[in-house]
Amino acid sequence: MNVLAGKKILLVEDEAIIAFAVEDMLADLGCEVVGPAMRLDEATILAATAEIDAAILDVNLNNLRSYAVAKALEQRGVPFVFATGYDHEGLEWIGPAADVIAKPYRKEQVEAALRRMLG
Amino acid sequence: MNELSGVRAAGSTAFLDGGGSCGRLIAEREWAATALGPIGHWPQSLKTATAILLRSPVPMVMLWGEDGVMLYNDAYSAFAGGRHPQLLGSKVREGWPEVADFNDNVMRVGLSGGTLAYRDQELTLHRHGTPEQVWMNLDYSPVLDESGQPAGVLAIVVETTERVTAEKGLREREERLSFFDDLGLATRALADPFEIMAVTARMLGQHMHASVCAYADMEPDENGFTIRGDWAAPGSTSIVGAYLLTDFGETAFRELSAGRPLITRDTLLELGPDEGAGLLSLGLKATVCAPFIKAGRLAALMAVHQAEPRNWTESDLSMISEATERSWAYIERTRSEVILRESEARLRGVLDGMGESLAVLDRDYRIVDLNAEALRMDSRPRQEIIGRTHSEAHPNASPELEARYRKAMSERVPVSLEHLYEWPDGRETWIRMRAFPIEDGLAIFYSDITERKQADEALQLASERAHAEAAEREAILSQLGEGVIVADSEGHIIFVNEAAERLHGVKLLGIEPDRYSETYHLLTEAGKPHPPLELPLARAVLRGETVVEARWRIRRPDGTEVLAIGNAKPVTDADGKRIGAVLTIRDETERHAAEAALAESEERLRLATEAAEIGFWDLDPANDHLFWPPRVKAMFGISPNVSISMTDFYAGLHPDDREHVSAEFARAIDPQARALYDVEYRTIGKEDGVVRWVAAKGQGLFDQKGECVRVLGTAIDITERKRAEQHQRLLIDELSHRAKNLLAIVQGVAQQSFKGERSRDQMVAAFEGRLGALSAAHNILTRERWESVPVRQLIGDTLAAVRPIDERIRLQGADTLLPPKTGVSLAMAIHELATNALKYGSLNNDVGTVVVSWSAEGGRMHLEWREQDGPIVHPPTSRGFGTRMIERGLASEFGGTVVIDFAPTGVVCTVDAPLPGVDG
Repeated sequence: MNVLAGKKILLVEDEAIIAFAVEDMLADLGCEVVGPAMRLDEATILAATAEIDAAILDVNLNNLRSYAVAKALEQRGVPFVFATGYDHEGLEWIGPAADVIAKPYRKEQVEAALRRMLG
Repeated sequence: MNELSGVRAAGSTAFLDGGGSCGRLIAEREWAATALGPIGHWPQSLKTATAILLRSPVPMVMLWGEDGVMLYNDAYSAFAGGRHPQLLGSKVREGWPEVADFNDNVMRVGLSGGTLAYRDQELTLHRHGTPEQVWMNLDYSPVLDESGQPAGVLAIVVETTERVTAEKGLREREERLSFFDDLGLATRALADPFEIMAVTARMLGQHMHASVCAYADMEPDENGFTIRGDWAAPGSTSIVGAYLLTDFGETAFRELSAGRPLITRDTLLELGPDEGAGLLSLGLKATVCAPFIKAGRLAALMAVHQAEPRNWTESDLSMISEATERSWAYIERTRSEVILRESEARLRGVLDGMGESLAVLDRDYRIVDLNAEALRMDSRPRQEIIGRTHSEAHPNASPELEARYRKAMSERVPVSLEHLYEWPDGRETWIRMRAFPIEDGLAIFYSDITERKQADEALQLASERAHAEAAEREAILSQLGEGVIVADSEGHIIFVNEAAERLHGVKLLGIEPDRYSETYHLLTEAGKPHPPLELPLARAVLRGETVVEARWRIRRPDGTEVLAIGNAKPVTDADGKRIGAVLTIRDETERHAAEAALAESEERLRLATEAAEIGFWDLDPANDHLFWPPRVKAMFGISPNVSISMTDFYAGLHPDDREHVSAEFARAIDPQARALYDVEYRTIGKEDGVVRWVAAKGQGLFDQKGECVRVLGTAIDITERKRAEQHQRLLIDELSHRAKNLLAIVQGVAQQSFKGERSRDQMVAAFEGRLGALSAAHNILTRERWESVPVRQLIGDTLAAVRPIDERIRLQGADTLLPPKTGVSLAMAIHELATNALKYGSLNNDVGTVVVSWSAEGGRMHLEWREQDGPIVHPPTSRGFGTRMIERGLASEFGGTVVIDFAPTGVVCTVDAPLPGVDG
């Protein structure tokens, strides 16, 4: 039984082409994608209101940090993982320890992170 | 009792006889229970007044007593409408509740003996159940009772509504005429439909005191529409933007689609909160929206809105409908006029405006047409030439010319000839002719080149003569060891001999005086650019001065410098007129080289120390005596005249560096270690708090006992260098990020391109095309230094990578800048649209077109991709990378709406979004 099947994953990624690629990966894993949200406002609203089992958050959204989204998820007890691309992109996240995956996204990495959160 | 009262009534109601139907009603009414009492007890004054009013043909009413009980005649009963006969005998304030206040005043004034008169008084009456605007002439006068006191008020009521409304209508018609006159005047000179609509919206909105007046054009689906512009009254907001008709409720969609106007006087009441939500959410509580149907299709809308409910009058409605119809008709007419005018102008321009003569010959060499320039050259009237053959019209033309024409006509090839032609009137003209075969003969282009021919000849002669003279002069002057330069009367350099060329390392002629210095790199002795007009040659030629032993420097192109000493003299002709000047130059470099080198080296050393910002410091550790020159003090933010000690040194170190620097210093003065002191550290300025970077070096001096007696060293302020290093690191980081991001995008494109059911070749081709679009976008970004992307260039380059741009592809729009990331997404979307058009759409046949238009006005970006005249479009059966990129990727990137419509007539894709700010 695939624990990921039918899970609703919020995907926040500001680069449309990359977002679509991850959307396909998640579909291959049997997940349902919420989003992808490409803008901070959109992502924050989804994080606060949509039905979500877990989330993947790109840290940098058009030079804004996605911590507000993380905060909203944390308050609802939804697990999430950050994705970072900058080598020196420090994670200034102040909150419970969160998993970090390095961009570019690889399917195995995404799958492992989801299993840790949902397994 | 009944009989009795009947008898009494018959006797006492005689005054009502002949009082019409109202008289009968009064007679039959039982008055005993009312304030007037039984009719038999009515005072004579009441009876008399009643008798008079009942017989009056003018509408009259009597308001009797404090309550104003109403008695009126037949004429008034007609005026009372549905209220009669209940009104008879009622109290006036209750009988006419809607004007109770008005009648209250009437009663008060009348019963105190006063009179009142009103002309064309406007009142709102509910005579037939609905409110009604009426105008009346009203006259009130008191009626006195037997004691001489006012007991009632007699009113003469004449309704003037008909006359007033007629006058009002006339006034409105006049105002309307004048409005449309003004509108016509304001739009007459405009050709741009949007300008016409903008002016119409503003004038109509202001004239009607509306809140908003807007105009929109419909999408081909007759549902989507875009409000292109509007006028909003102060305090109201613009509603420009893209909307769907269906969002404005079923009524709006039904009425407007059928070509009927949508009219609401109170949107909430008439459409309800659900259907009215579209309008109400825009703050519009009353609306008149006029549709424009063109070729059976809903094409445009114009609407006048009010922020409050408004009772639109018939006149309002016809006003709006007329204004919109006029402007639409005007736009249609303007469009066709413009097209016709442009095409005519183009043709005329080609023929007459081209400045070259054109003659058209038919197959029999008959002249069938001449343009304006041809007639001007010929000087004969048109009718003498047209219709004749070429040899009839031009009997003197050379046989060679006729031979060329025959060749062009028979072999269907272009020919040309320059020939001297003698006109029938004897003039001679050099003519350059080119003839091209056309369907029914020849098109011959020719022009008069006589002047050019003559000029050529003159030039030939002059140049031969000048060459001979120059060669002679040059031969003499080039022998001289001294440099010689000659300028003409205006100072243009016309001769430079070999020695002068060697001195300068270059020879440039034709140079004007104010460019001597920059062209020949002439400097003052001090090494500054030489003011050109102070050079000896310039002074001689421009001011007639003779200059002796002037000194300046020449920097040759190879970088070597020469010290020149020169003499300049004006040259005059026999009449004493200045015709130029001569400059002689010799090289004085050698003699001055030695002393100059010395001075320069000293200067260089001084500058080097200055520039290096080196400060020397000296410490006597035993006595804690520290010497810092002002420069070192400055590195610690301390003024030059402030005395210092080692405490200042330690205190000035940045806390993060203090430990390390102190340890290094300790090692330097430790007799066992005797280490070289070599550190970089930050200081925090004692006086100014500024953080600086310092590189310091030093070494301890030790006496025979091994004690450190002195430490000597240098310190350099390296703040700038550190800053530059940091800046460079940031740049490299940014570059690395961009590269990684780009790779991730390429990976994403690959992932999505290599899936699905297509053949491998197709997938590779799609992938390569997308990489091409990415690359074109990045080329622009690199050129624009990643600051912004010009839209026109982006779209043009992206399209050009798919297919050469020709007249079938049109780009329309003022250049607008987009942020880099948005630009890349737009390029990808345009690429997908273009490849789709090439494979299935309007670029897949020989005639289809693509128009990409965009605008950025009022803070919104609107972009449209429109294909036309292509094969019939079938909507795609599945959504691939392209549609995903366009519909979702682009919409999300812009934060607006993107709609792609696979209409059978051609794909249309529209983007409507807030204009993204460009801030890098």
